Amino acid sequence: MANDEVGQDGGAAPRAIVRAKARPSIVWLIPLIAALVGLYLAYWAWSEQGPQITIVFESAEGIVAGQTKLKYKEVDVGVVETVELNEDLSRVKVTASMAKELSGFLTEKTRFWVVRAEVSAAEISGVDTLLSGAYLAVDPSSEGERARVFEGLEKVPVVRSDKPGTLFHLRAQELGSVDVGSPVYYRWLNVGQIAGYELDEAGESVNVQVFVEAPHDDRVRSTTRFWNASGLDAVVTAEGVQVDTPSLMSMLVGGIAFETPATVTVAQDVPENMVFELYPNKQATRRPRYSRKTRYMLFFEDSVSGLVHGSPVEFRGIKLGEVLDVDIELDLDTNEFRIPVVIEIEPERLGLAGRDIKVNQASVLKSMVARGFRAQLATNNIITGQKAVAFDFIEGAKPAEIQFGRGYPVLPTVSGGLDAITERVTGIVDRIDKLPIESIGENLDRVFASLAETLVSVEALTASANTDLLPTMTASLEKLESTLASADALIAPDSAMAQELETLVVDLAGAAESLRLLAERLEEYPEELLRGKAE
Amino acid sequence: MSVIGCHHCDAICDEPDIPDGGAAICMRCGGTIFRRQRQTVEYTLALITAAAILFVVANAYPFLSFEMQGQITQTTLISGSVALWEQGRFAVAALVFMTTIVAPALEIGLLLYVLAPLHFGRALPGAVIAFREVERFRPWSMMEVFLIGIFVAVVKLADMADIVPGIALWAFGLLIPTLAGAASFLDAEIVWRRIGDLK
Repeated sequence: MANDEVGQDGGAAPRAIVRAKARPSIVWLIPLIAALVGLYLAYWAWSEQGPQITIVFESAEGIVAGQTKLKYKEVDVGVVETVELNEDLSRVKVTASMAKELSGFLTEKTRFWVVRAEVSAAEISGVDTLLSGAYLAVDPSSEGERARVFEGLEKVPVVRSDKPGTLFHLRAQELGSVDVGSPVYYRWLNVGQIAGYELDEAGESVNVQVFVEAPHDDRVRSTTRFWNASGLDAVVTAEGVQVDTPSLMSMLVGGIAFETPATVTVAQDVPENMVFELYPNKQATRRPRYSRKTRYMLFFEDSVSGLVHGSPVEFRGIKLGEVLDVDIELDLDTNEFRIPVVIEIEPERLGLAGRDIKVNQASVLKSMVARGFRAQLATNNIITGQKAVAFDFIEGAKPAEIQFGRGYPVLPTVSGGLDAITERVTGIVDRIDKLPIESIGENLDRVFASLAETLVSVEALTASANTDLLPTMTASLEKLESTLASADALIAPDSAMAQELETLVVDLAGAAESLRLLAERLEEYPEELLRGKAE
Repeated sequence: MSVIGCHHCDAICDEPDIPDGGAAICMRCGGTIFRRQRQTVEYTLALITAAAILFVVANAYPFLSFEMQGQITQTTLISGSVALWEQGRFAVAALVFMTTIVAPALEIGLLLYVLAPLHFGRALPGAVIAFREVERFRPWSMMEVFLIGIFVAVVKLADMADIVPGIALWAFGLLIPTLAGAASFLDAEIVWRRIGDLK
């Protein structure tokens, strides 16, 4: 068809052949491929798209929309898309698109915080963010309900799901020089950090959370004692001054140490929600305190001089707690003064320990009061006059109950002063009353009767002695006198007998002399005894 | 009617009436004298459709990622002009925006508006104005220049930062030859004639 000779008309140039229809164009493959690739990319983007979340922060310092990454274990898991203020301009709303892998781990327990370079006395962290800029760290959690809106943390949390360990709760009177991030020591080994602290609801103590890393968290038992290990611990003893110095670090940044001493109570695994006492120093741990404290009010009528803040509250010599406040008030109903005393008791010392201690404590105390559990004033030290509040079971005490409605439950008291003496006297009288006086009287009567009889016979005896005995006795004495006189005459120095005796003694001396001579002679010449004196 | 010559054998002939999509073929040597009448509407429409898809991809995905000292910056086609705008270079920003986004978008959009109905034998109202504006905007479409500018910057920055080309860059790279192809396939005279035929 190509070379047909056409167009011969009029000598004009021949006409080219006309091909009427075009081949179906393969050029459509190009948009087809482009569309397929585009669709694939769209599908890929859609399938890779993770959830969109919103995090609320106090400040957006270091967060840049489109640039700031979200990281978990230093792996990118998302990127910040927008940073904007919320409606009332009080906070910053950060929206971020997360990686698909995290979609199952975005729950109400998931936490976000900004990692910036931070320099503290304890550590320097986030140095890499100096160049790369801050990033948002994620602590994913699969527990709890799914969430898409989160509260960002202002501080790096100590407890993270990628760091195994246990969080313990401590209660302290005062916070001391510890701070979030301060170290926790076990035998001066850094085993954890202080995770946080806050004032308790009543404002009476400070709750401190302590994170102990695994495996050291097993060292914390139910009897473990925590103490504030900041600063120096100097003790003066008979052996001199003993200074317990923690590491220089803990002196600077503070810290908490713990130890499990040998105690009467057997160490057990730490029960959930157990609150440990945080002691101000290591010395204090040897005088255990109990974290649970209950306050009661007592009313005394007699003088409380010597009872001050800090005076002990005892039960059979065991300290239960201490006096918090002593005051005086006029009871307008009775027009009498009475002294309200607020005490603080550590019920755990009474063995009132258990899970639902609050329920138990009330019922146990109620039954104890019914059995005569009363408070009274006791003199602790006679010389200084220091007083204590002593509890005991008082037999025969007036029935009483715990009263409520004064802010503190009011425990019944008994008087320790005049009233008590009166009570004792009454007791003595009662005992006298019970004596068998009638039978005693009868016995006495009998005794007196026989006594009279005895006296009569004694009298008769005396009379007979006068009549019979005396003359004989006189005669005997006279004889004795004459005997003595003759004896006297015999041994008088100038009597004949004395002279004769003297001569006798002289002769006896002469005889003894010659006997001696004889004995000597015989010793010298014993043969003369047989042969006679040699010539 | 004018006379035309064959490129191959120098045969002279009258220029014939050639329908759309046809070609003038030398009656002596059989060589194609000219393809004056290509399937201009179909080809251009196909390429413009592909260009439209690529243009969407190029704008939707990140263009380049710079990573320097841990700091990652992702750019999209529009972020370049936004950055310039934020730096206070409003004129440059507007120019970049015009040449890289508005002009190509208008060119693609208007061509689609004209050619797609034309392909199915129709002309939408305003097709005449639309097609005239295409001719006016085309010189302002300078995506090639922009692409070359990007490549220069990438080469210069390659030593200082890690540069990860994004999907948009590939799309952009494909978009430019596609647009060039569409432009070369487009025979305005035929389009005008077709529009005129339909009126």
